[in-house]
Amino acid sequence: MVDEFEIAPELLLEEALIRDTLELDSLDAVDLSVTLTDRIEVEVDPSAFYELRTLGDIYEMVEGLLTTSKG
Amino acid sequence: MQQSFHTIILSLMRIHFTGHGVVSCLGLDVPSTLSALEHGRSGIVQVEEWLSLDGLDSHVAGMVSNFDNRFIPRKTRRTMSKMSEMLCKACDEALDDAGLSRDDLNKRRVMVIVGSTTGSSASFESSFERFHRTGSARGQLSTTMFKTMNHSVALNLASYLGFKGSVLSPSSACSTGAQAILLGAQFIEAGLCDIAICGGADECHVATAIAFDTAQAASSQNNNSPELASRPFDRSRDGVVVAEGAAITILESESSQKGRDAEAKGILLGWAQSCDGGEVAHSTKRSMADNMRVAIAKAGLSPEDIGYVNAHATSTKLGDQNEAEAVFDVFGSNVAISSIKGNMGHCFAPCGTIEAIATLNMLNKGTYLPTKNLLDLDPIMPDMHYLNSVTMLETDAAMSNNFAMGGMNVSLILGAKE
Repeated sequence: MVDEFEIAPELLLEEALIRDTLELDSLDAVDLSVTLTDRIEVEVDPSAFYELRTLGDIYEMVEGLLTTSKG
Repeated sequence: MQQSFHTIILSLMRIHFTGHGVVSCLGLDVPSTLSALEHGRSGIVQVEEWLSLDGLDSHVAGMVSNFDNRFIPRKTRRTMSKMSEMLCKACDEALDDAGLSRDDLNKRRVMVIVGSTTGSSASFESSFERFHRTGSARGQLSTTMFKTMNHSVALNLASYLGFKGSVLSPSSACSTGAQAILLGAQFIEAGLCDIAICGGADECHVATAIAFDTAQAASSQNNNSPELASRPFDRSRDGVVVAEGAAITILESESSQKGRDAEAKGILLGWAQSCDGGEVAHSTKRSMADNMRVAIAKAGLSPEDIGYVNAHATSTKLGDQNEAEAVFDVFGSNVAISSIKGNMGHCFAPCGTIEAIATLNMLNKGTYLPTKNLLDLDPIMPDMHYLNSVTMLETDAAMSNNFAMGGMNVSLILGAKE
């Protein structure tokens, strides 16, 4: 988030709003999905972000994907 | 004495340059670039990554270094490659120089006319590299398209400026920047705008060096002395030195310039553009000479009125010779001629804009810059005054030429500020 999207570290809170606080939009969602896919080696669908509201939601989604892929 | 109606009309239709901006391998703004030219410095370096590339003989380029893109907000910058970023910086400088705010651009009758040779090769490379490595269409970045489209620099500059007016993106390789100026003049003359923001940008990618190397037209004999590599008209010239950069110049109708009391930095007296319509690698002498004559006629001048020609002269064997012969055909022996590509190599799309800005600076100072590295004039060149030292000339008009791949000819006639 800091490197790819230049978001100030102090904004990276669990309750931070993806669109309003972090100012990430649909183009960013695609690039974030690519970054996450490369990082966790599990495919992240960019459309999944449309349902999410907060940074905590993203963590939760990633955790879910990792758990499913290990399971 | 009372001015004739014709003189008054011509005066009202004059087109002025009111602002300049440059990012080049010589400097990150106009003063540093012009100062480097005046001090005879070179912006050409050896590119380390190219040394080990099998089959590439040319290892020199004019790279823009120490460029910080963080002045552009991330959301605006994410769709930009380096060429757009450099162009934004050049535009900021030009607007500041012209005393225009971004707000002015949407309140006045303004056009933005900027282009590049191609979209970003680096972004294409990165996209295709992933595609070939993974064998999948997944994993592509959403912003690649905006960096690789032909009008990438235009859309990104308009986005950066918040510009809502008309935007054009000419693309004619080495004559793009000059063609943008010509188009701006034509739109002002036609009464379709009062101010034209004209320019171009290109970023250096190894693909460009490979293209010229393949055509046996890239310099390779001075890889270990890069400052000597670009040497237009010199007997030992051996090809283009690829470079990068961006430039903007602002054209303005006389009524607009006077109406807002903007400082004029020179006049665009005449222009012409034509295609060779036959030769694609380089224009023929005939079509270059014809184009120059049309530009001179458009300015209402004769060749004797023009004391200096800023040549396209990219340091290739045949191109420089053909161009010199065409200039000689038009002007004869008395004209002074030089090329600033000896200092900065060939940055393609913006070169015509940078050369116009440099030529206006020479006109306004009355001192004309030599061709760097022109130490031994090729005896095959026709007899003209090839500048090899800073020279004072008495002239109020100069010509700046760009002859691009595809036989794209652009000639501009520039006048000193009044």
